[in-house]
Amino acid sequence: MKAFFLKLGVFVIAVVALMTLFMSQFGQYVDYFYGKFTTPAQHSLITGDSKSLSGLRPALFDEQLKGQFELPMFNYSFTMSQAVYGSCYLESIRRKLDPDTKNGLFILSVSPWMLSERPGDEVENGVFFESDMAPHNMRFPNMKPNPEYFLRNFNNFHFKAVFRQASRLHEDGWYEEHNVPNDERERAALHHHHEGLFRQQSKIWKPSGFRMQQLKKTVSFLKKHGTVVLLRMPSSANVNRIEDAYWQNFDSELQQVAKSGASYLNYAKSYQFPTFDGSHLDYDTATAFGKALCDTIRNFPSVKNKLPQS
Amino acid sequence: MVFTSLHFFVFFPLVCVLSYLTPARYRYITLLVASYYFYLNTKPIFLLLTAGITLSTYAFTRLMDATPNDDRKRKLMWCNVVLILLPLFFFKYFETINREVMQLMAGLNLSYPLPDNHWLLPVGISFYTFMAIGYTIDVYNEELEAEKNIGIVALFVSFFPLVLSGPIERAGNMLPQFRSPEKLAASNLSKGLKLMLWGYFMKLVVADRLGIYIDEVYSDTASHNGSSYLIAMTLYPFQLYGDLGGYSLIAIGAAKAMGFNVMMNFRRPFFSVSMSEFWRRWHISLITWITDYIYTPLSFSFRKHGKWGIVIALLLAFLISGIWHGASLTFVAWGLLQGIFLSVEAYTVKSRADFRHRFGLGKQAWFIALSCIFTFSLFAISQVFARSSTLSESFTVFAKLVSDHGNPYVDFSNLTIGLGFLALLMLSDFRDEFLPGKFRIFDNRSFAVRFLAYLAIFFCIVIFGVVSDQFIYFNF
Repeated sequence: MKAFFLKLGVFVIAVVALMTLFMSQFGQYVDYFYGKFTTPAQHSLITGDSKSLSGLRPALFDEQLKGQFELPMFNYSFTMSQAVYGSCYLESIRRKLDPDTKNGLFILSVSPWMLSERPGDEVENGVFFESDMAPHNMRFPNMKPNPEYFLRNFNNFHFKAVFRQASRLHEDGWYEEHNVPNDERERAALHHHHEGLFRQQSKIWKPSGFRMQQLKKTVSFLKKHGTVVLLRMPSSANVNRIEDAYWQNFDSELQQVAKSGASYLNYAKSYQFPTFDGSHLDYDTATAFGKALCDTIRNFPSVKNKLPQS
Repeated sequence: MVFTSLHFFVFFPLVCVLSYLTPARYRYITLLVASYYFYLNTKPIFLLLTAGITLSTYAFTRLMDATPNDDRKRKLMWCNVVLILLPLFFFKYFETINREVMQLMAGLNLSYPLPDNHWLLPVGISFYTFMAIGYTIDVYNEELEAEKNIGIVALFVSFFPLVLSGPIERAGNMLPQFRSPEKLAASNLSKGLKLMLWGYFMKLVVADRLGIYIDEVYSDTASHNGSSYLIAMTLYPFQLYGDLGGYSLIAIGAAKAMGFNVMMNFRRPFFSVSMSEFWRRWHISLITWITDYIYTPLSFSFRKHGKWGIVIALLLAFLISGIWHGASLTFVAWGLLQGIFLSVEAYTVKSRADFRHRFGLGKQAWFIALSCIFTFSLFAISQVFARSSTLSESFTVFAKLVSDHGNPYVDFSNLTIGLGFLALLMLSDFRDEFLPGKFRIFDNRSFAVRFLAYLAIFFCIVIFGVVSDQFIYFNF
């Protein structure tokens, strides 16, 4: 019996050692969220879904807005499958934010889908479809290594991804997609796929007053720690048509939310920043868009009149 | 809780330790608590169902044991069988029948008072109901004495390695083991863990990887051509084998690690040279159950009809097997087809044996290989019914297989991985079938070889496995 447990122990140690080595070498390819929970609490955040996850590169903001905010910026966006504004995301943002932040920059990427109720939601009873998913199920989002993430979100690990390395999560939370197609037919297929997806969900999901209220609370909370920007990122004309039909007063409602202490920047129909699939920007377009966004933020009266920070 | 959840990886070692720490005579209590906790984690309300089936089975078997009157005994047996079949019927078949009747009535412009309800099927109900029925009939046939300890009966119905998807064990095998369980032994732990490791490999690396391709093809009948369906049809039996075979190995391994011997459920089924042999190797626990409790009594009843009696018994037994799998016409067709294959074999058994003997084919490798391929093909074709969601969808698939050819849909990455590891699985089965005891890897004498083999399989699961909490047989 002793011999058996000894061998089992050696096996477990070998497995743990090899896994640790593997994760330290290739972790950024294996899970696209894990790295978001291994940094210390942050001063400036980007929140949103996959549009901002891949389209807003924190390093660019650090470079363009150096000295104006408490940087570096950190991308705390996820994907549309789990990142919706609500009490869960607000709680997670609270945990990810350094409470001593006074002059942070907070870019909240918004879309009608991120403010919708969907199957699994019973908002009146406090039941939210996203509550069991990262980042909402994480009590400790600032820990390295982060065993909580491993225990709660092991399903997100895709070890096979190390072979293709099609995407990578950077330390600043930016998700770099290496797999953007150049072929026009492939891009057209992606547009078609996304439009179909949005059309489908527009039939099942519904605009949520509750989530809009929670966005307002998020703005009010973040306002105490710095400058808040509500950002609607560029989409294709077809996607805009679907979103406009789905939620006709979306922009005016966001402008109302912005009155609680944010600036609302609507780039949805800025077609000079074309998407490759209807809603995501490739690297070059994202860079151009990021620079334009930084120019706009730099010209905010509150920022313009502020002395640069060392 | 399912075997592939992280929760289980904490639960199982803990139960193992607690179970061995409990004195043998009280171990059933620890295991019963663990099993109820395990089942509670699927859907708490359904625990009432297992508890109800336990109570009913315990009460009726005790009453049967106590009565000397055969007629009364038979009535008690039927009472319990009907009573414990009611939930199965209600949850599994009521909705389908209700829907069909509603459609029929609507077609005749008649109103129908029952609403079109959607009930969630309690996971494992088909399995533990059959186990409880088997035990009831064994007591009726006086092959077993009724168990006096209700805790042991409860554990038999809800034993956590078996409760969700079998193997459908027999009370004759399990009850004595629950009464006096084995002591902690390294050999049991080692064998159990090895079986579990291989089971996870079959499930997560082979079945779920192949499943990605198959699900894609079957999810969109309109877009895929006959060539894609040919690939999906060929792969589906392997997916099923990996899924239920893998699940069974995990269950058997988990039980073994705790010192319990559970029957094997699969025995290299794709090396069968006939359908009758295939069904002696595939889902053995279900088929032996159906043979013992349905086919044998039926064939005995029909014995005066000679060969035709056997044919009718086979058709009925496999029809019930089909209906057990699901409440739809696709499973009825699937079951009937199995019955027809076996009936034809039963009818031609002598002429086929003569033919083989006459040309000396029985031991020819090429003939054995062709027979295996032919048997596999019959099974794969019949599985089109089981995999399709409606009868018309299965006919569409068959029509495409015959007429709609072209370049197949290829998911290069998943197919390469899935087929690569399927080849490894088949090689392992081939070795066990034709070269028993040779080229051992998991049981190699060298510790280094064994150690590296375990590590390699573990990392194959981690890297190439598909994280999934779905088992095909959870639907049955």
